[in-house]
Amino acid sequence: MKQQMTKISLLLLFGALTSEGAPPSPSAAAGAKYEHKMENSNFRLGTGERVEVQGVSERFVGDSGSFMVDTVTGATLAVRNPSQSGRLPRPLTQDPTEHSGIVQDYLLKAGVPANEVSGTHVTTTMGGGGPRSSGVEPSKSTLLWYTTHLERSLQGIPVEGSFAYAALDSAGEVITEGVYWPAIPANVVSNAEALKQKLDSPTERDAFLANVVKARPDAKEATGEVKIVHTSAGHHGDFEARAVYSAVVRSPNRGKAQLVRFDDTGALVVLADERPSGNNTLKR
Amino acid sequence: MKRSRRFTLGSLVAAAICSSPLSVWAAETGISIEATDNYSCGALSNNIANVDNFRNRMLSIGGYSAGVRYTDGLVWRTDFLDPEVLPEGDDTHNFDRPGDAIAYFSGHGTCDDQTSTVCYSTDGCPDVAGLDKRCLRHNEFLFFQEGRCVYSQPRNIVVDRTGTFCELVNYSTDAVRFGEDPTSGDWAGAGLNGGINLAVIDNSCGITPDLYWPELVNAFAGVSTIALIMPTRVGDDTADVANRGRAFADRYVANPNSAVAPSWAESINSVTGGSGCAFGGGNHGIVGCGAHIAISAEINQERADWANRIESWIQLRDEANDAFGPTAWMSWIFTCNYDCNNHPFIL
Repeated sequence: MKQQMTKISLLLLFGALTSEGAPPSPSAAAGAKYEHKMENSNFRLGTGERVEVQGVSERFVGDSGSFMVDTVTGATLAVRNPSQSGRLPRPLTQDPTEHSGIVQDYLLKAGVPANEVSGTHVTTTMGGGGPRSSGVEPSKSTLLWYTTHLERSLQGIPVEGSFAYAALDSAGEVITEGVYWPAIPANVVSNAEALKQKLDSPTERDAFLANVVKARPDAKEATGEVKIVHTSAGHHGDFEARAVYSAVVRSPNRGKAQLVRFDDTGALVVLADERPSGNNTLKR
Repeated sequence: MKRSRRFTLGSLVAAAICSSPLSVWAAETGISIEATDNYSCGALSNNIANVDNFRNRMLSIGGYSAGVRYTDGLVWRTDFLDPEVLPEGDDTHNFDRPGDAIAYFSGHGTCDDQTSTVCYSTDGCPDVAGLDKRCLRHNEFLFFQEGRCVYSQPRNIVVDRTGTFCELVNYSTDAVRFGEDPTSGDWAGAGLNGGINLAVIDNSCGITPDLYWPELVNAFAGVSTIALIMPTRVGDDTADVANRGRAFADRYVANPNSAVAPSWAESINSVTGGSGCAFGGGNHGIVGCGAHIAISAEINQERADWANRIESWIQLRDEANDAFGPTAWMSWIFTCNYDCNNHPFIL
């Protein structure tokens, strides 16, 4: 009980430290933090296990790979060493649904909060090659492995920036896995709900979108959605989570598409890790 | 495996190494970054933060060092051009510096490889003189599949030195050559005044699916691997996100012995932001459907596969592992943000 109260206090304190001003609604629940641990992981380090610490990274290392814990954010990433034969892993299955079922069971059993997982999807790693002498031919790329991601939502609102994924090889062994599932303060969730309600009301929506276009005229044609966004897994400054209206704005001449975010007043939102942090070199 | 072959090939260039004043260049550890947000042809906002996040993360542990950093008006077209190929070029002091291991560009590209021409197979795409073509999957419903024609138009980095005029750097057929140095030799006709072993081109429409040879082979002059973003559906593209570079660098910090090319491909898993793909999945730093792809080109398959499957972050710093030419084999690895195995991108 005491432990639980401490957690709640910390969450409230954490919420107060973010830039979201509104108090949490009675219905809004905070997003739970999950930190993946080596002892909950099926990633195999191989022989010669040891622990290495470099800066804020704690690594569990073996001759087969490494499992890193970011001691600031709690994010984890496990990466294999390459096989010296050059042989890449083979896929567990050609069926992504089968892969996703197994990975979902694995990550939920490890501790990812099931009530925050709103779906899964895969990414697909493939490899190939070919000689110049044959000219340009349709590629003969083959499937190497699938990676299954658990998608995070709170109160039905997608959380962008969190991830939990794993890739399994033909023996069911973990090829790679990564988890970043930070706590999301309750007031951020309630603000996201309120923003969603605002967009569901035709009159409020029009007023809000007018402010959006005032801030970014090129967002006029863009369609957006309400999301919860937060600073990324490797950001070592203050954690920041925001409820935003996020829209994709295309460049008029094509080129990279911008992801433009607005708060509940229609003002632009830029997270701390989206700001430059270096100095230019003197040009020769 | 590769090292012994390299010893043999290395002996062929030993005379050049011994006789060249450039042989004082030793381990290649530098990381140089260039990025533009201030475009007159469509402003962006996350490219400078993206390259900063990459390099800061790489330098958070030992092994690499800071090269140059140029942003906005300091990113020039000539930064990417080789002076041996084009006298006005000056990549030697910018994107392909002796002593650098990695150079990372983040900014605009062009998508003029894509068309709205409907197709059902590559053969059905109209021929365009001098270009290769593909029919790229666009719509599907049960057994019905429809595509759009794409062509091997030269791929471009876009720079804007004055903030008033966007210029193209054509890295397919122009004077772009990466990585030539005393160890690799000057087989690409670019002299010995480069150095990088990994180029990251984080732009829009970085490479057209399946058209890797015509669009990229000229840029290889000693560089082991070129990492790019490959939209796989017409109209879809790279998203302007600040966390792609760091997601890539995270692989080095997590495991310096991991392989570099697969690290780029896999890093898409830790990139967030974007929008859904028409064939499921999506996001991961892509607006629609796309992939992170790493391509290695070498004198033979064995060496290309080594560069693309095995070469680690530690080995990347060793100039003995430079690529040799003339290029005869390309190896690639990519990770799509959807199931591109069951929804192949070429029809």
